[in-house]
Amino acid sequence: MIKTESGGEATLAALAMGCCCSTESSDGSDAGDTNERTALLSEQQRLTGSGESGADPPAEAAPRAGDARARGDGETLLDGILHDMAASVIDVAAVDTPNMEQHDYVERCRQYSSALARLSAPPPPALAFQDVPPPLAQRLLSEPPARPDDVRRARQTAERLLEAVQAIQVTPGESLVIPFGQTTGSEP
Amino acid sequence: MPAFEDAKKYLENILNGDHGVEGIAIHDKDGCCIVKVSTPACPESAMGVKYLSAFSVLSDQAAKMNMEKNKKIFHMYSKHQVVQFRLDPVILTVVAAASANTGYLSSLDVTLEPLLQRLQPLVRPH
Repeated sequence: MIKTESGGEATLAALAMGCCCSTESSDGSDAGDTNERTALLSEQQRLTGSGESGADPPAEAAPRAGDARARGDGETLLDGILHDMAASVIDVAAVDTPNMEQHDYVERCRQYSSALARLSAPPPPALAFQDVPPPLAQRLLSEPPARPDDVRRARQTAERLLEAVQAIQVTPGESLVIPFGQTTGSEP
Repeated sequence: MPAFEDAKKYLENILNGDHGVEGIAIHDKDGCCIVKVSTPACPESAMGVKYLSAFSVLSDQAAKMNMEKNKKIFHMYSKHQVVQFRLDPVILTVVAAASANTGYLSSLDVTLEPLLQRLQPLVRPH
């Protein structure tokens, strides 16, 4: 029992309840109660390694979304650290690691040799225009010209085909552009 | 870019040029040769897959020395010397006698640049 200034008596338990309940590592958080004094920063500090020593993480102290976000950030940070370390570490033993299997090696060598053969081959002849050798050119030029009736019939056919192509039109049956938010027959 | 009929003949001209060059190989990072020529004096192990594929690993490790990207590596042995050039995506490996002119060997990437430019599109990233 402790005597106060006013002369009353108070117990230690009563003093604890009035003065010592607002700490981050208080025992009351172990019960899982979330209140306005629940610290959100403590969860992040614990993940980054600068948390308070000896403090057990509360079971359901932080909100679920913040907990998942902090865990994702921690994993990303850890992945970045591992990646940087792997990029900077000089691993001499990696030279002995076999990279390719035998059949892959043979297949790739075959591809390279065929590609090299194509590279060394003369270029293929142009398909659109080709030089006519002189004997063939003479034979073609010495043949009688086309008859005027055939030329006229070919020209008329070409003109009719051109008119038919130009007469092609698209006639839409219904409006192609519908204002946003409105449908054809139902309420939005 | 000069025209040439055969890449092998182009490289064999260098082999026969009395510079001490014993073997030339143009390959990818896994050691698969696109074109390779060698003389009987060239050691077979220097043209093998295991030796050729080691360069890419060595070059990657050498790039971690805080001297930026590795471009060439010179291997000096008692009877031979090997010069390897990193010309992504191809690698040029030149094997020569120990008495060969290393300065000439180190400039072979410039000499073979027309050929290398034509061969680089053949190598796809695997």
